[in-house]
Parts: sequence; C-alpha cells; structure tokens
Amino acid sequence: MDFLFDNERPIYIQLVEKLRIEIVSGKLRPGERILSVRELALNLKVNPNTMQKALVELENEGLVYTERTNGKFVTQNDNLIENLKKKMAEEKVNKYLEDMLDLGIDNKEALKYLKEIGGKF
Amino acid sequence: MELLECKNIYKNFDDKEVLKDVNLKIQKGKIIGLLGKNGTGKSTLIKLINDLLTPTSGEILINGKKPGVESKDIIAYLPERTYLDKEMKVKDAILYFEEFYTNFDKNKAVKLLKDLDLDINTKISKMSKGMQEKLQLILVMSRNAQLYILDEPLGGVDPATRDYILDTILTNFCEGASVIIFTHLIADIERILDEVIFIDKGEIVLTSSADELRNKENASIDEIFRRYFKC
Amino acid sequence: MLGKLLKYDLKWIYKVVVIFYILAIIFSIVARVTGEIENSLLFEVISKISISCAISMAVSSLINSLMRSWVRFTQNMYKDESYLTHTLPVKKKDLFNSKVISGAVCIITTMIVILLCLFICFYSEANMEILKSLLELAATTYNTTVLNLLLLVAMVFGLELIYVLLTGYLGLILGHKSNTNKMLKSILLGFLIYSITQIATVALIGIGGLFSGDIMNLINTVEAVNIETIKNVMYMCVGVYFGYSVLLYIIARKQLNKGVNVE
Repeated sequence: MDFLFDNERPIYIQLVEKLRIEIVSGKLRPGERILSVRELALNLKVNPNTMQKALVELENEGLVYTERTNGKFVTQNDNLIENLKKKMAEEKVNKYLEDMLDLGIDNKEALKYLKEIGGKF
Repeated sequence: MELLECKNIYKNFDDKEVLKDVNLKIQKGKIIGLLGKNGTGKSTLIKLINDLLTPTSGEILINGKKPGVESKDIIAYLPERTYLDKEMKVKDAILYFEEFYTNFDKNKAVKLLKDLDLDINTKISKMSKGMQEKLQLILVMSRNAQLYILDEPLGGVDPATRDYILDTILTNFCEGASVIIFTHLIADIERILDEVIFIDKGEIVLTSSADELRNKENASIDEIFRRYFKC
Repeated sequence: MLGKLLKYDLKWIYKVVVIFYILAIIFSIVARVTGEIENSLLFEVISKISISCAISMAVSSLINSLMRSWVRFTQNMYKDESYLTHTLPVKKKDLFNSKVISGAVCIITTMIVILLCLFICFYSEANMEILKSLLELAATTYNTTVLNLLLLVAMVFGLELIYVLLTGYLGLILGHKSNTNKMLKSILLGFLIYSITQIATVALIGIGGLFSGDIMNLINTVEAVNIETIKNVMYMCVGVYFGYSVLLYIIARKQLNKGVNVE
C-alpha cells in the first residue's frame, strides 16, 4: 500500500483525495466499515493525526459517518457518491481539454483523439 | 499541562552561548520535527531535556516537573551514538531495559528483532553499526513512553533503512504519546510531521503546523528549510 | 534500583579482576607445591618464580580493582554509555552509591584474596608460631588481642584504598564539569586532592605529636619505634581515612547532584 506523497502540498489534502477516489471507485463500498485511524495511518505510513484530519474533512463532506461505538463507515448515500463521481470526472475532463488546448488542439479535435485512442482499449 | 515545556532556556559553554532564550511547548499526541543544521544547538537542547546537561538559566518542565526520575520514566530517548555496553549480548540489553524501565514491552522488542532476523545471542560488538542503531531504535520504541525523543534517527543510513526506521517509529509509538525528531534530514520524514520547529544559531526561529506551512509557502518543508538556511 | 545497578557494576569490574585472582591463587599453589619438593634445584627455581608471579598478580589485582572502578565510572557516567546511565529512571544518588559500593567491595575481596595467597605460599606451623608469638608479644604488652591488631591493620589498608578510590571518583566528577580536556583535568584534580589530603594527614599526625610525645618521637627520630606508638598512629589513620572518605563522598555526591556535563 505504498502511496507517494507530494511533499509540497498538505498531506491531509492528499489523503482526502486518495480516500475520495477509493469511495467513488467503489474500492470502499457504501456502508463499509473503514479501518481505524491508526490502522489507516500505518498502512499509508502517515501520521495518525494527519489521517484523523483527513477523515474529519471527509465527514464534513458527508462521505464518511461515525457510529459512536463501531467506528467510521462509508456513506450509504448513493446520490452523494454519484454526484462526487460526476464532479471529479468533470474536473478530469476539463483538465484534459485544457491540456489539449495548450497543445493547440481544440475541443472537437480533442474528442477525436479520445475516441481514436480510447477506442483501442 | 504541557507534556514538555522549555522556559527561557540559556546554555553557555564557557564563553560560548549555545542556546539563547529557547521557549518551547510540546503537547500530547503530536509528532514534531525539530529542524536545524548541525551545530545550531539541537543536541544541546536534547541533552538538556534528558538531564545530560543543566541549563545556564531557565527551566525545563516535563509534565510540570523538572528532569528527574519521573521524567526519565516517561521519556524514551534515542541518542545519536550507541550507548549500550558493547560487551553485552542482544538478550542482555533486552534484560537491562526490562529491569530498569517499567514500561518496556519485552515481547514487542523480541518480535521486532525477529523481524530483523537478529539472533538475540549475538554480541553487540559483533554487530554492524547499522544493526546496532536498529537494535537501539527497537529498544527505545518498545517502551510505552509518553514522549519519544529521537536524535538524528536517519543520520547516515541508506534509503531502505530509512524506510525501516520511519516505519518502526510510526508503528510503535504509543497512542497519545508525542514524538520529537531532531534532524537536518527533512525530506524523508516530513510527511509524518504534525509540527515543525526551526532552530538556528541557538534560537527557535519558526514554529508552525507542517501542513499550514506547506500551504502558505506552497513548497515542501525541505524546500522551505533550504530556502530559510540558504544551503 | 541500587541492587540492579550494583549487579551490573560488579559484573563489569570483576570480569577482569577475577582473572587476576585466579592467576594469583594458581601461582601461589604452584609455588607451594613445588616449594615442598626438597632437593631439587629445578623445583626450587620454579617455586621462587611462582612466588614472584603470585605477588605480581596479587598486586595487579589490587591495581585493577581501583583502575577498573575508575574506568567503569568514567565510561558509565561520562562516555557513550552515560547517555543510557543518566536517562535511566534512577536517582543520581543510587548511581553514585553503586559505584562506591562496587569499588569498595572489590577492594575488600582483593585484600582477602591477597591474604589467601600469602597463606597458601607461606603457611606452615613454624611460620605461624613465629607470627603468633610476635603478635602475641605485641598484643599482650599493649593490652589488646591478636585479632584486634590484625583487624586494625586491615582497616587501615582497606580505608586507605577506599579513600584513594573516592579521590579518583571526585577527581573524575570535578574534571568532567569542565568543557575541555576533561580526562586530563580529572587526573590532575585527583592527584591534587590526594596530595592535599596526604599533606593534611602528615599535618594531623604532627598535631597528634603535640599531644603525644611518643608520636613526636616517631617523627623526630628514626630509631626507637615502639609498637604502642604505631598502634596509636594506626588508630589515627583509621580515623583520618574514614573522615576523608566521608568528606569526599559527601562532596562528590553534592557535585554530582548538580547535574552532569556529558560530551
């Protein structure tokens, strides 16, 4: 479970991003119990406090909830996850399009590239 | 009450002023990097906290008390040098820790040594320097201490060992305890730090949360450190 | 905690000293056994050599008792190992007491071993008779028992050695307060303390001489040394060395309590 961090950005933000992806991708299923803060931190080799901060952030976003005695769980609110997925996908697409524009490739052409190359998979 | 508090610490060696008005507060449950170049008073500060030196003026309090038997019982200290009697075997060193520290977890130490494939019947003088350092780290981290003070734990070791050391620190420090890592090798440890304190020419020049500092400066702590000290 | 500290200190000191004990005893036995064989030049030579070896081993064990105590003190309290010693949850008082007791115990056992060696080498009924009559003469003349007299001699030697041990410890403690040339300063300070106290001893005996003509005689004249006077001087020495030991012990502990200054 090695995860390379970018030391130039706050670690907790990178943790939030990583966990969001795990939730959205279904690696962490809705309603699934999340490992304890300490276990998670140890797996990713980060400071438990930083992990805690990341989980608090996810909780504020509603992606994670705490059951008093049992620990933390992934939300069962499918809408929320779906919306997040959409939002994240949009971001990726926008990023792709922007990058293509930087290369002097307009949106239409970019789409063509996408179809051509993406179709191969 | 702070776990560790340094109040207006001055330390002179003859005419040389090594620490100037150092003020520090360390809370429970944090991993703190005390960062500074070599010869900036880092090791002097560590020795003061561990009662290996006495301050010229000022006061050091651990859980509100001056360094003494009680503070030594809750501080697990890893010095830069090898401090074990080299004539001892590994198992003797374990026994020694078990006899003197009530909070030493023997089983943990034995397990960690097993992971290293280290035979406990080996004489310490027969072990490589790197192995001796690992043994010392294991002994220190096997104590259920409230404050771990680690002096240059990554000094002079290869990258694989660095990972091993960081993992050992991270996986073994007691819940709710604090860890202070004194070092000038920042890149490898910065991801585990809550807070950073820069020390320069005997003075504390910066104290900040690690993530806030990264956010503010838009750079890694290592980068900020290099910029700060222009080295 | 003192017990645990003592265990390690004694183990460390004895690790080498015991070797000298064994050698001294072996040479003594060899000397005795070969000495018993009559009419053989070879065995006589072996016996003589063995006796000198036994004596040199005995002397070495005594020197080693002191040296190893001092070396242990330095390494354990001021060198690399001090980083562990001074961070153990143990009072400084216990650390110091353990060093004093381990050194003193070693000195005492060494004295016993030396006596044992002498006994092995030279014991014979005839020799014992000579010694006994000599001592008895002294004892009966001066209202004391043989045992008392022997005990007094042993106490003078023992206390003197313990005082020398403490001189070394105090020298090391004071020398290591400095930031430079710690070892050199320790040795010089140790010698200085030793010299001052020895001069003071002579001065004290001189003062004793003011009150006792016999002691004055001992100082003034070479001849006419009588046993009574020597006994008085020995009593004085016991008092003086005991006083020094206590004084050095108190100063050393006070100094140590102020904190250490490791490299």
